[in-house]
Amino acid sequence: MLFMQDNEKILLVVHKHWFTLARIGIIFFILLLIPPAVLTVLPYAAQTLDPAIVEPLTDLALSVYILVLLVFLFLFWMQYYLNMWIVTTRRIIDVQQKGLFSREIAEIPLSHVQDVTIDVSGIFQTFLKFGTIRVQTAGEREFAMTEVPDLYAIKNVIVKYSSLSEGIPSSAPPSRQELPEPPRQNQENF
Amino acid sequence: MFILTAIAFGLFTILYGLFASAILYHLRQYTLPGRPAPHIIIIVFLFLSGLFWLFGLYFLMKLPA
Repeated sequence: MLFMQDNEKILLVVHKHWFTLARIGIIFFILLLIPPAVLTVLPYAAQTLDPAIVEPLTDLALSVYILVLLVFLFLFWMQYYLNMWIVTTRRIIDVQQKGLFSREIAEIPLSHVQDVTIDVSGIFQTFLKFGTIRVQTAGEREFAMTEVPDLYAIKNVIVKYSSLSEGIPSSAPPSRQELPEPPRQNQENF
Repeated sequence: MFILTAIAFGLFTILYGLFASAILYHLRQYTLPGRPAPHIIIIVFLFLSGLFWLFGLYFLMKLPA
């Protein structure tokens, strides 16, 4: 659970480009094509076996196979969906979901942002308009998110609000940890 | 044959249920509010899971005892 600070508003929620998900979808589509290929060969291979056993067993194995593909597709979609950058009026929150048992949340106050870099490389990134965005802070760590769409819009928002937030004291230094428990009052959770 | 397959299918169902529950938990816990996409995807996932599980059960029942 993330918590918002006083008068903090979400400006952008950035997920990776749909191409990331499409790539996984293509792999799963290819994996879906394996059973028909196997079923084409199976009747010849299973001629000596009892069809009363082989047929329902094959169908059962096919159902299980599709269920396994389905749950892994769901897992990959969850990772895609929960990996995000949240740009607020005060900070950038980097949420990284790595599988089911690893989740990292880091944040940079916008007042610490020194440089925002965009990197578009390769034919797919050029034509589909996505790439890597890097945020550099004063003498501190670098934030980077790969395969992000709308790079220029994101950059503009970060640059605009980082210049607006200069001089506003940040509540916490950039850190790679779970966000602190906020005071109960005047907090909006999301 | 039937008993062995039924045990294997039962174990698979338990593992599948645990795995799916863990994913659903993460989505419910960490999704930003006011976003319809996870709800739709969850419904589609549950529907397809139920459908193919029932198919599996049906084919299991067709195995000779």
